[in-house]
Amino acid sequence: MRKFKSKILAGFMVIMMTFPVFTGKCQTRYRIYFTDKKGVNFDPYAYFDAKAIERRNSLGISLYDESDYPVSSEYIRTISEIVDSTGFASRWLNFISVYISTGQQLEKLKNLAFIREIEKVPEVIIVLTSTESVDDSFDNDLVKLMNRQLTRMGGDLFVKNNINGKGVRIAVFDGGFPWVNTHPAFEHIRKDSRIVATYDFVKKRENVYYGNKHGAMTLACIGGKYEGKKIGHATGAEFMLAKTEVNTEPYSEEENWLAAAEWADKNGASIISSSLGYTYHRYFNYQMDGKTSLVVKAANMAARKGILVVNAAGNEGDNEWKYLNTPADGDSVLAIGGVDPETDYHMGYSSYGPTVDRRLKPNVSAYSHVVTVSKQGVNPADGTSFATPLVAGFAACVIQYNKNLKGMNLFHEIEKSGHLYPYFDYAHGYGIPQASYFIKNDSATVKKTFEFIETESRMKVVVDFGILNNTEWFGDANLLYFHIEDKDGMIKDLYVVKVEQKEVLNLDKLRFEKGDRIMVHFRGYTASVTF
Amino acid sequence: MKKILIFTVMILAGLYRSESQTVLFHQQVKDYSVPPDNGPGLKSYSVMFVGLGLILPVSDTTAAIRIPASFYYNIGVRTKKKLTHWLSLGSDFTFAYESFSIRQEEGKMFPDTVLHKKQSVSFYGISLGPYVRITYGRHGNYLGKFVDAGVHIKCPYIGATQYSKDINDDMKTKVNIKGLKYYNIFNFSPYVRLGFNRYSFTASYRLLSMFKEEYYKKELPPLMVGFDITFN
Repeated sequence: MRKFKSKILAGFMVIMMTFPVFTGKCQTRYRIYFTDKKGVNFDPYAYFDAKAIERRNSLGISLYDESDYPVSSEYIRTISEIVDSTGFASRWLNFISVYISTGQQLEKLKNLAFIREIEKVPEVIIVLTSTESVDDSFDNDLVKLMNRQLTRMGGDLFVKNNINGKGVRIAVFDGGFPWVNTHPAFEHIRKDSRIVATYDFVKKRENVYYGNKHGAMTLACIGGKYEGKKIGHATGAEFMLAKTEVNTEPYSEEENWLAAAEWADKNGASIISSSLGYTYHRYFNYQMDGKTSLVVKAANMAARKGILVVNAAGNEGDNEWKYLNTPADGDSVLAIGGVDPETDYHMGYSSYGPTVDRRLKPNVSAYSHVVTVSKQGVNPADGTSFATPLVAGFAACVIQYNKNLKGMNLFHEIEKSGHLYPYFDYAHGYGIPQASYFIKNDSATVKKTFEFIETESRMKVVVDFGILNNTEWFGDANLLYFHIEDKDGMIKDLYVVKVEQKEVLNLDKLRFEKGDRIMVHFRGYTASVTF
Repeated sequence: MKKILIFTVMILAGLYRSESQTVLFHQQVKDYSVPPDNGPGLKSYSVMFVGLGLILPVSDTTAAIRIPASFYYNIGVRTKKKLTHWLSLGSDFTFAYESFSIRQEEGKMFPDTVLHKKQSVSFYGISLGPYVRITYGRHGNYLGKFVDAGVHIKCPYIGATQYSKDINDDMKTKVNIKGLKYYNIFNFSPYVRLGFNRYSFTASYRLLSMFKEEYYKKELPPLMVGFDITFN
């Protein structure tokens, strides 16, 4: 028995040695939300950049919105006397981050009347998923793809009209921007000093030219230019670079994103381009409701300030998670899906919508197999991370063309410019935005390309076969999109069909329930039938 | 004949109809507002795992072994039932192989007193390892960071081998004795596991003697420390 007892003791010692976490002092991070901003002074003309004031004025947003006021310094002083240390204080959400190591500190905080909520902050993983091949040669295929990633959106129209995002300020949030200070693809931006601000929200300093190359790759897809050829639409835009993440899959904080958004707002950004997203590491997919995560609250608040927030839908389409990430779930966040340039329809990995509350996502799409910068030159790369900056650059060009379009107006107009609009589905959103919608206003010239023919038992869709000979159509001319919605508007099935003959669809009506709707899109024309 | 003709026409009509559309892409949308039950961070979960580790001496009273030649590996299925967001119960169903490489030195008593070039004693068997899991840190459908505490019930061992190798006058002699009878077929080892999603570090400590009392000469080291990976 003595031998047995000594063995139990030894076993217990092993357990204790294995888990020093039980014995050590451990700091925990909390967010302290305040009830108000009483007694706080705020001078918008001292705080905001001139472009931020201009944006607010043009959208009729008050310069004295309380959410822009700083967090009460009195509250911060009181808090800092209790906690171990303080961190980022958010004006928009009126909180401060603190580190606490004892229960007594927490109890003291709970007794303060000006505290509305105390939230424990988890560590979280940011996903910057993308892949890149390693061949740096700039061959003809790369030139073609690089050209196509822009012309598919009507980039040639922007060029013809001398539109390149000039004067528009774009904030790019990512994991680092190495090469941006040296790579020839950014030479035109450096030469004109159009990187107007940089900040590393991880290390709290200005240098962002290190870390994850993902940021340089996304920036190139907004405004890069290589050997005289455009990689992104907005080669004339101004840029703000925010390093908000640590590495490709680092532990990080959603707070960095929020801090960067406040910084972008203060410094006059009109667009935030973010190829970041949070998924299963922290959330369940039924939490993609546009209001749960801190980062989606931050993104929606940025949109309230008149900033167009463009975020990647995510690359989870062909894995278990499947659905979009947050902050792409935000109702004011333009979520970007991926389209395969080879097929012109959904790229397998691109995350699907809708949100949990059944809002349409992604909002629009762009090519997600693109050419972007590599260490030595340019390379193909994959991911909705790269579709996103293509749309951000597109949006900058639209703002330059029509200065009245900003914020949510711009958001909705970009949706309407989608090549499938008014058709939509949970893989493509409204399709790929088209410059022609803004410049030629060609939405009014929609021609009927098919018709529904209903018999007693069948529902047929018959196309005007002659139209297939019309070669003006860009992209894959023979794709017909259709989906079936239930009576509540939730899409049950969505399809892309290759049109090879006149009678494209011949569906048994028994498969439809009462109230179901079939919506079909072919070559710019959309029509639907409700059962 | 008429029936055959009608049947042929129907088949041809069916073929024509199926060729009338080439579906390039189809996605059926499921309503994901209903939380699923099965997943790494959900109500229940099962996953395969493999583990590898070392057997370590903790006192002079046990037989002297060679490190890292004394090792174990295991393969099995780990199940988990979530009780609360932080607390789960589960069990490992494991096939395990443990090999003790006996140091050949003066005074050696286990498994015999003869000095060989190499000698090892191996056990292979199955075990059931119920455990309690505390998951810490916020996590979604993800195993997250966790601490497990449980007991491996190794019952019964399904085999044991004693192996020795000698070289005399350039003659190699290998002796493999199977079906050893001097070990207990029932044992149990408390274990703890510190994990981060797929990866975990494990330490276990055997509490009972490996050998039947009448054969007992010296105990084998009870401490095993290792690493395992789950295939989620």
